[in-house]
Amino acid sequence: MTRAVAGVRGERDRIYLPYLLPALLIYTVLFVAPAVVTIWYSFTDWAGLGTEPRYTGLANYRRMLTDTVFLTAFRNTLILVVIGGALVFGLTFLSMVVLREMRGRAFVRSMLFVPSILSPIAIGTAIGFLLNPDGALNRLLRDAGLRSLARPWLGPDLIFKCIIAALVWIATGFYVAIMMSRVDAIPEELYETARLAGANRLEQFRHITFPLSRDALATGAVLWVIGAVKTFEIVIAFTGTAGTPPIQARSAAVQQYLSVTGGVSGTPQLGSAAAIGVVMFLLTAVLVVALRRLLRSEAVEL
Amino acid sequence: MQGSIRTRTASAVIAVAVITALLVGACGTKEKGGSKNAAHKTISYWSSWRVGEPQQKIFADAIAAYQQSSGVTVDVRWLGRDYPNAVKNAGAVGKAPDVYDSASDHISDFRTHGLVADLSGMTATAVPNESAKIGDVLPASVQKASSDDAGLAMIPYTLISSGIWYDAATHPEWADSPPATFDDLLASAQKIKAAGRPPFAQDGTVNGYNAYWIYWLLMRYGGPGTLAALGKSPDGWEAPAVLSAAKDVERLVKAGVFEPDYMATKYPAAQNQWAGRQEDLIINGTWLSSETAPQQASGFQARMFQFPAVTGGKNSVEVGALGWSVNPKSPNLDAAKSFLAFLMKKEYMGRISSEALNISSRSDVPAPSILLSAQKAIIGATSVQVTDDGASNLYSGWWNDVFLPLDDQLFSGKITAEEFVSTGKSKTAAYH
Repeated sequence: MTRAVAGVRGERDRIYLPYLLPALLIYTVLFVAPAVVTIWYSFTDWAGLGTEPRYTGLANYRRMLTDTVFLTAFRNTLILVVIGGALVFGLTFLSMVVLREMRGRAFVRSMLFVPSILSPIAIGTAIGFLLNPDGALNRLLRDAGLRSLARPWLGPDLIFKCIIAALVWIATGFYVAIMMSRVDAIPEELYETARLAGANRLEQFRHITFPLSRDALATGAVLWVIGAVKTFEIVIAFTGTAGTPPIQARSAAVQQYLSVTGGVSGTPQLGSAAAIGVVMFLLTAVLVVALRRLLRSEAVEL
Repeated sequence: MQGSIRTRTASAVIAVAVITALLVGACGTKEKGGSKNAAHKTISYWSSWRVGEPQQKIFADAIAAYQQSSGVTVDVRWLGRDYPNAVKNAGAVGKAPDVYDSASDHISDFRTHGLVADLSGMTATAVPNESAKIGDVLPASVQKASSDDAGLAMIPYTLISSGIWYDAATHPEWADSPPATFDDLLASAQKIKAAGRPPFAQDGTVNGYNAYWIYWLLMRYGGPGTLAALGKSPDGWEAPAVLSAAKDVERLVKAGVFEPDYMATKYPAAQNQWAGRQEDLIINGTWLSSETAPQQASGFQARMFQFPAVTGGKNSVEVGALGWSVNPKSPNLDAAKSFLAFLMKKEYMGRISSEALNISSRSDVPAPSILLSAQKAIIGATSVQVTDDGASNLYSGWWNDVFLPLDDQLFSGKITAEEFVSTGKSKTAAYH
């Protein structure tokens, strides 16, 4: 009997194979092979197609460990992932408490989502208008008698904080949309029962909303990590492309971009760009695995 | 049944392979040139200009005329500013165009990719229907800016320089006698400041623009090569010129001659403010007037003067060039060169000045009045350097990760000149 099952299973597995093959082949050619090649290039010094890569072993990686510019970019990326993430999900939870019963919540949700669909180029233009030393924000502060609060927002000292704020502003609506679609599926009776038992909104969130949307949170958090590690265009929107972003504002992806392009007029350093890519991939993988473990829970059947 | 699945799988595999091959093939570029029919040659030209830009119109007219007179077909692609990657990638698979646009700050990158033919011999080529040879109409300074150690890397058509811009309607006195020394410049700035206006506009979020100051002061104190030496090795930082230049940047910053919070001003706000007469001066490239044209106040007369001298210093002129390079592996080298000689005709180079409003590379074509002084300086130059002394191009990683961030610290007043030199030296040592 067991053997028979095994036989059938073996046959079934063999039938899968030909169906799987085309997809596997495309995936291998278009993804696995370039990824392997990238790893190989991360061990070289290479100026791009048409030049010979020179094998340099671990030099690109060793360099990253001592290069204060890369380490700053890497630290900035971690700050974006962790602090940015805490702010995004903090605001998302707050929305989950407030928006569930709010009037006009569909409208508010749509409004929150709008920043996610704006083009970074439009945002970049608006930033100059808003945050320049004599931009709209500082003028508003001065007119309101709050001159002391006016700041050089885009100067090297503040620009990264402004970038975090913008990233949170852009991303929150997206995660609110994901989480609220889960919250909407929670039966109203649970909240009614809770209210009858005397639970306030926060308690309802803690005992009903949060546990019942944990699986969506796990998905959202993973999406956030993957997106935040790659943070790129918002930095460019803030700093523009006429120069190179100040070190204080660089993320790992921006540093990789500078290596790929050589800056405004330079020779590409694709070997170190590949190494940065590998490190970013590893960072994402480690964080995603850690998050999955942290947020692992049995999906609650309703 | 299984057999039929296998057959289908095989077909699917073949189909995928064929599609992949087609896709990969489509990514490449069509092989051009090498036509066996000598009577009808085709050369390919990839341009940095987009359809509709003044330069594109000029070159398109030249191409049409060249095709008619020579019988050679020019297969042109107007690729826009991202063309270097297209050229390099095509070069990697042996399909680079015969002729492509280059610039003095791109020569070393194209050279690394083996895409630069030596055009030194072309200086002896006559411009079609003219008595002049190409070498006669290109000033020595311009030829130098278009060359590297391996020879003339491109035939230039437009010149770029940088200096200090002002509005001649507000400051007519500078048209004939601009500030002669850096001290004079600072004194003029102080005078404007005393009158209640910030003298200088600076888009401080563009680190490359901030670096104009240290770059020019390094050229003035140490001459061409002083800045490039900083990127080459830590020893370059020991030249006394470096500290002198840094001290003058420090003096400039301490004088408070820029608009408030200049380090937080996002491009192009400051240059537009200058065009609106909020500030009187700005350091920038020769393109600034055309870039700010729509923002210029009525009656505004943008003019540029050379960066002033320093006592006992050097007087070089910046010469950057846009030009055409030839692929050394081109099967149509002769046709490519004859095409370039044709493009150098006064008819087309004149339009670079009159229509594109740029400085033409030909010394016998007067620049637009706005840039006349820059052209005069270039033609009369005895010593020249390329933009950024070539450092941004030769040592781009160092430039972006070490020099520009450090200069921003000096330029924002966070570090002293002495700290700039000592940190620069140690960071350059760590970088290499």
